[in-house]
Amino acid sequence: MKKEAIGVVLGSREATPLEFWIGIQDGLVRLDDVVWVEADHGGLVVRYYGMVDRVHKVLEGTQFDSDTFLAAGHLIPTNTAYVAHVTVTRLEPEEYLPPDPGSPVYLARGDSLNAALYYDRMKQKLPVGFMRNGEPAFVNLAFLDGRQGGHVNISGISGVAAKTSYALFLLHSLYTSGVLEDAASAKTLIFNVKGQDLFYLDRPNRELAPEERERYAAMGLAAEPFASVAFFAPPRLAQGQGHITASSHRAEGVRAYHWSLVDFCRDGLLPFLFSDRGAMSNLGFLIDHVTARLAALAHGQEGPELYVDDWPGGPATEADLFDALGRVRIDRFDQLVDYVEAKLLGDEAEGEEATGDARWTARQHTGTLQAFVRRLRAAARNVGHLIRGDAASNAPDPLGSSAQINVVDLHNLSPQAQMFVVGSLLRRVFGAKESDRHRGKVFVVLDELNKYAPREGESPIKDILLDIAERGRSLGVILIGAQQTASEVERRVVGNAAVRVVGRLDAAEAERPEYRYLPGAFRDRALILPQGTMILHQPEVPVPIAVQFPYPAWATKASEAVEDVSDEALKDELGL
Amino acid sequence: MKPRLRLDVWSPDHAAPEASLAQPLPELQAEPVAADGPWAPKREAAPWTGPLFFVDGRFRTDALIFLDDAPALLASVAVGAVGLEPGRAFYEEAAFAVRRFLVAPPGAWPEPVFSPAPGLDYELVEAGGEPEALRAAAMERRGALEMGLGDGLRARHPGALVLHDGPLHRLPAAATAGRLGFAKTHHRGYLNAEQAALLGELAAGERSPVFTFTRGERRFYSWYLRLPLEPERPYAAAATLLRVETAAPEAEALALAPVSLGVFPRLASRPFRDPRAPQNLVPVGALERELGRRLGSAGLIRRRLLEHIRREAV
Repeated sequence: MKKEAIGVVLGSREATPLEFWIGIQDGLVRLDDVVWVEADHGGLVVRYYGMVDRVHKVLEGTQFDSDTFLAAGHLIPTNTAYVAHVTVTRLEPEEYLPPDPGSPVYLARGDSLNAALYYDRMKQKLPVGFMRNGEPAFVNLAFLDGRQGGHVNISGISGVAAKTSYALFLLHSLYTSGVLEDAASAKTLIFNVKGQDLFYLDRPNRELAPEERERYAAMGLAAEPFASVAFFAPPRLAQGQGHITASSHRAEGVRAYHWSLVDFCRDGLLPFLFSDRGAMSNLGFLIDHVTARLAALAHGQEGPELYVDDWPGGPATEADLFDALGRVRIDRFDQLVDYVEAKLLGDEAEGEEATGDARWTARQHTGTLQAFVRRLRAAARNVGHLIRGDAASNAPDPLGSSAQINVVDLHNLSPQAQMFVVGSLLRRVFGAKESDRHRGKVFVVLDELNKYAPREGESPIKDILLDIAERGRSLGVILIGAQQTASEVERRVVGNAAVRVVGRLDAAEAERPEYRYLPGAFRDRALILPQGTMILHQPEVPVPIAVQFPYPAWATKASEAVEDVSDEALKDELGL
Repeated sequence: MKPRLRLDVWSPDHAAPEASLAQPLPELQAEPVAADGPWAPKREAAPWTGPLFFVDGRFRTDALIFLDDAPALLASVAVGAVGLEPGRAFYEEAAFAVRRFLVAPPGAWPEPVFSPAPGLDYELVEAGGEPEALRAAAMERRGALEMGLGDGLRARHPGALVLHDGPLHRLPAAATAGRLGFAKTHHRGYLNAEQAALLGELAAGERSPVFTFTRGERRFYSWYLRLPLEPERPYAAAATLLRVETAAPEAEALALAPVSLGVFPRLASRPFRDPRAPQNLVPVGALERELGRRLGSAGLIRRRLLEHIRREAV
């Protein structure tokens, strides 16, 4: 496809096989434009594909900066030089000969664009947005779904970078583009960390303009909301026994999630309440030990409440706390804390020496035991409504769920409760995949990775995330992680992501080594990226690509949902 | 009494503009034109609405060579014009020419052209022996090229005013209309001491009345004008003077004199920009740089010559 040349390779600056400058004669050339040049080296014709990463204009024929005033006043004639720098992405054939100055330069479109960005080599091209020239941009699915690489990592300032929006757009493309062959059986677990923004994913967006629909169509995607979504929210805090309702603005279709005391003990979820295991040398050991004790205790019990037979000093005042065998019934999390305290510290909990049950204390010092109890006591306030003895577990089970997308709301949980929920669910998902109980792919979308897998310190949830990052792709668990600052996230979690995406960055953050994979011009641009534009890097393409993605086709808040929300609003106001 | 201290504006590397506002040679003694009013400063300026073209040339001696024992000169000349019209300053590609000359004594070179390298062709010009005479012959070619360029511009743009950097005495009589020359240096005087006293009184943007003189067979009309120069200092009297002349008849000369006040002062350059400020006008300075570019690299030409001579010597 020959077109009009837009300019020539410059001879006044070095032209090398990897980069060269072009002078622009006709038309406009901007950053991200893809161009090609052909040069004949004595019969060996080499075609150079490249991407424009610098453009500038200067007035030629001037001596001083102030000559520009004269030129603008039409007193001296000048020439405007319009010059662009091209980074070569591909040579065909692979002969590293420099292009000849004066060779005509063409804008890459169609086949030449596919060649320049290696799209021609990708067997499965997943649409991931638009390039500046309006052509769709692709990611090689093999590098996203775990075959050759996996995981996506998204960085950017909250509120501006639209990290979650882009992650959802990627999911939408995965589910509806038809590129992912077993998309129907793929499951997704998304944690909702801000407002209840994700609670309308199944509703069309009333603010979606017709031209945005066309943009979806141009990528071969349906401008539709997600078809199969389940919503989970924590129970409301203040409510009577026996009736558990989800804390959500959305009236219907939201399930409250919680764990039973028995499941909490049996599944060994206790460590997820401790985010600072490394704070004291023996604390980690004690946590593991108590976790094992609790598991043994719950063995054979049906739940949801927990019975113990070795708590004589228990809450004996209420007769119905005892069952037929005379065991004490524990049906609230704070009671479990009381029980553990009694086991660890004995009756003289305030005393100098702990007099706890030797089977529980594991010969730890009183200080360690007290530190453990203090932390557990503090947790009771945060997770008391999530871990309960009055109802059977109703924890989200993304792999067992019939819904493709499982949205789990965390936004009004305390940080400790968020850790607990994320850790418990990730372990469940990863455990199921490890034991091969689910065949399809699993996508996990998690924002604020810096909180769950911080660079410093260790925690059980960080261990799981590391496991997912390092082994997940071979098991089919793909992490779509996001954070404001990649520099604060465990290096191996970010480093294992094959596809890296950057939205608007903070200036200091952009200078950190985590972003060195971006050429300087892209790092500078990351400071001014508008919402809806991301810089995407994938292993196969040697340069990052700036992509724009369309406005969400799904509602991101109640007011955008197409369905009549007046009922909901009314119920809300009436406090129903 | 201490003498009054005055600085000449031009860089001392260039010929001083005030080489002499000397007493005129008797044959160049000027006569004031009575129709331009009394002998006093005049500041009435008139606009020029059509296009303006400044014509200039650049001359470079590429090498002095010997053909056997006869000295010869290789010279390159670039001439060109810069156009100004409201809202535009431009080069007209047709108004550029680069010519190279081999100036040699008659019979010293057998062919009409000397081509030491592809694209480097020197036309033979025959001139008498002394190096000064060789140079003068080459300069004469430059003058003719500039005048020819002005003719072409007048033919293509009938309403244009063509301004030549340098005096006009080489101009053929038929092509005098719409042409002005301007002299930056004043090697010759035209006014007697009494008349010349007026020049010291001229303020920036003022001119002397038109005067006339004959040179050879030709009659010229001319006037001095003072260009603005910032910062304003008591510079030497001729430091900011420009002498404008035309070979056109008296009526046209009288009409163009106020036009010159509308054109030149706003184009005056400044010392930081040009060592020959203010007389080397801003567009002409830009044109000179462009001409230098078109002359090509002197070092490269010299290398080509050396290669050629080595080949020929074998």
